[in-house]
Amino acid sequence: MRQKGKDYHLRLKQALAPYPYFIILLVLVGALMIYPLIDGIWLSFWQKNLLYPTRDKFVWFANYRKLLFEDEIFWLALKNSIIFTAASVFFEYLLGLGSALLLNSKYIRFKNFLRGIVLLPWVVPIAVNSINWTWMLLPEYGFVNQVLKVLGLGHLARGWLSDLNWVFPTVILVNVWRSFPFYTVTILAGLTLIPKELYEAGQIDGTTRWQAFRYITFPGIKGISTVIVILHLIWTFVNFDVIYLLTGGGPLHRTEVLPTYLYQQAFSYFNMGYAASIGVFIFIFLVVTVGLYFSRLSNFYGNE
Amino acid sequence: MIKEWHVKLGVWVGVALLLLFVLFPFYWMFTTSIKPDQEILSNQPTLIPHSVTFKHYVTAWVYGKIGTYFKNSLIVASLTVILSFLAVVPAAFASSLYRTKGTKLLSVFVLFLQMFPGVLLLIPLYILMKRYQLIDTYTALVISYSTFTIPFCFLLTKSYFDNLPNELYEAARIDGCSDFRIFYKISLPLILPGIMVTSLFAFVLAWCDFMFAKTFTNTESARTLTVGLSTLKGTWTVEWGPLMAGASIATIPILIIFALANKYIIEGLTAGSVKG
Repeated sequence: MRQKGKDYHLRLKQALAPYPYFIILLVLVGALMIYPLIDGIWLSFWQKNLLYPTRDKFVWFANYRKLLFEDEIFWLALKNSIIFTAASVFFEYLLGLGSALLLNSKYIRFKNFLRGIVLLPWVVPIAVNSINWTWMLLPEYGFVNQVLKVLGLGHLARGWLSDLNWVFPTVILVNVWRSFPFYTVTILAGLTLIPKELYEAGQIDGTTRWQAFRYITFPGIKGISTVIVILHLIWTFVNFDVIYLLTGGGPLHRTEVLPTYLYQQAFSYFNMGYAASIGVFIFIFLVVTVGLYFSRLSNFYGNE
Repeated sequence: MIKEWHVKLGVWVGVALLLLFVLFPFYWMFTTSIKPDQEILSNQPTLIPHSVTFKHYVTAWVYGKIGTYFKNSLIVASLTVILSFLAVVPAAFASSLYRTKGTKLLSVFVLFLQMFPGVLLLIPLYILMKRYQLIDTYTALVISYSTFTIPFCFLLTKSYFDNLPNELYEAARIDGCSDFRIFYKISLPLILPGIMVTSLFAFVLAWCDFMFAKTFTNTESARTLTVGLSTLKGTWTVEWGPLMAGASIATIPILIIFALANKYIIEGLTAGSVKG
């Protein structure tokens, strides 16, 4: 569609035509995401405590020095965050894959309905889930311990969210319970896209169930698996709600993760500058690890 | 050799266990909320309530202020949906209609924002809200919620616009229709069903938030249901009946939304992650 005499002004007008549509979006994103992000980085170079507003001062990298070299709880929280994220995503994927394969079976009817049911833990507020689990895991009247007693396993009953050795696996379990449905539903969507003919052809060639899974099913869901695993690595690493609502990071920092530690520094001690440096650390850590993961991945599979 | 019925049985048992695992906490929540106190705090838990009472719902709604929190959550989530769509729908339309370098870059940028963790915004947003005296207002919650609803809604809405046939735009332009007229006379009515589904989704996201609401509210005036529940959990340490009633109340809107649009929501969800 070439027009003769298309002058400069007209072209400029056409080139700028899309942008008025973006105004509200860009204003909101700029004011609520970009500006705060920069402000947060700037803040991390300040000693700023809301309780002592007169003592604000620019301290260069002092917050980071303290964070990396003097703060043991920070390192504990980082270690916990990594274990929490890795263990959660690993078990979520196993459970999600298993349940997706089950629901994809040709013997199962009412698939849409079942998908909706399974998704429930993921769409209900974490505040609700955490109350439910706190109630079920209660040492005295909790359902879990009462069932253990009925089964004659009373010696296993304990305060699941207060026992120093068990609290961490317990919060991981609750987190897995909450998040795996997302994997189920997305993997299921991937499974339904695999052409049935592949399995039929496999059957003619006499493949075993394992071979069919290994060479037909798994390659079919590899792409979507990568996406949801990366998404969940990020989401779990920055998740505040689950641990804060179940244990608040306790007992004795046993379940302290970086987001809860950041929150504690910011809103219990009002060390805004220091908390901001934790935020920046989380951001850099994510960018570096996810970036590394992506580059490794693209080397591994060749450039697509 | 594994027989057919072995597989069938295995699948059914597996699905039954899966449903038990997923649903039991909700079942237990609901049954606890309708049991009388002595049945809740007993050493013999009853799977099926022996006697039924709804007094915990009254306690939670009135004394627990769940009613106020419910109203707050409803208002905040609805306003979030409206604000998100005011921002997202025109932008998604433009990035679908004009496929220039600039709009492509903007779309990728917004998609990238979807991975952006809210916890990083917490402190600077808090300082911002404090500076403009927005703590304890609906405004604070609505605008902070839009940080996570906007990227998500943009992604979905854009895919709805992208699915409209190009010929539609061409025909409209030949008839002398301006681009903005195309937007609100042609495209928008066509993708309205999609917008409805996306708005339900955004509503659920806003309804479920805890972190922003916890940080930006101190009093009951704007406190949402999720924060209200967690504060009640702190103060009513043994009142499990009303707590479970409150938790049930917080679950009901989600159940209604899923009963209405289960299939579409799941399609939207999976489309979002498959494309993302």
